[in-house]
Amino acid sequence: MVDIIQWARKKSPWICHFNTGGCNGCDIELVAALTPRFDVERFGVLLKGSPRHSDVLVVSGPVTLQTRARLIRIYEQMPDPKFVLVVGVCGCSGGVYHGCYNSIGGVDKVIPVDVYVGGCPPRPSEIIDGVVQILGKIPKTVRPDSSTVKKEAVQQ
Amino acid sequence: MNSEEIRAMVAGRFSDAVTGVPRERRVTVQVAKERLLEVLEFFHGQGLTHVTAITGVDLIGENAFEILYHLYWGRNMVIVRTKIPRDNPVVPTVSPIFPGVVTYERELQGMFGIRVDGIPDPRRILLADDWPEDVYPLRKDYVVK
Repeated sequence: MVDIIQWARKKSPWICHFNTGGCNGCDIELVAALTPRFDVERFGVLLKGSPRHSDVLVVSGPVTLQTRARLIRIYEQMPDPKFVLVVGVCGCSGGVYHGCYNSIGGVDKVIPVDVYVGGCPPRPSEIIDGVVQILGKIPKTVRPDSSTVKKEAVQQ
Repeated sequence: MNSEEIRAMVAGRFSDAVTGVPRERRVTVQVAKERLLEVLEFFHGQGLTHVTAITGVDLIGENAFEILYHLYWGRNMVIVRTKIPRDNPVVPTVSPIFPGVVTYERELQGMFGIRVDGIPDPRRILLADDWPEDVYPLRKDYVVK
């Protein structure tokens, strides 16, 4: 039974997209990656409107003071096991927004991240490769616990 | 009307204003804070009804803020600039003349802590909800944590 669930999970990673305050460039590339030209549905990838329906959270952009609480809330709404894919160098490290008064840096300062895709912006093929890498992690990944959200990030 | 003609017209009308043409199609008018509304009203009467942007500059070396009102006039850009002391940063609102500037003035208040006197809507606009009240990120003495 567990094997069947694991198989189903691997064949249909539904994704949810959230921009935490970036310039929109990575979002355009992500939308391009979802077009029939790249045909991500061959991997079972579907874009869902709600985090409650998705397995993978795709985050783009540096985390700003305003979006930090929203990002945590979206992450907590996702059902376990959940995976986080960061798209773009801003979400990885803060990028060009590093040191800005309203930016707190990369996504991994707020929620645990499974795969980082660099680039400014990354090409659609690289984003698809990131999702495929997450699929490769599924059998090995220990079920993440919601309590892994960094507590100090919530209190700040 | 070319830039030099605009400059000459303003200089003739306001003798205490410092005018210049830094480059083609750009006219600057520097006035005291007290004369600001008068000058802007004059331009409004000439048919300049659009403030493109308001810029705040922190001249910390001179202990002053400079505020620039960018007015769009056909092929020319007219920039009305005024300096105010840094320890008492107050400017009058120009919203009675140009109603659309309220969002710019709200941003000016939040980013620089410049009090806009008589602003119809003083709420903060761009800073995060949990941003502290008396911290102004675009001031030069603001330290990024």
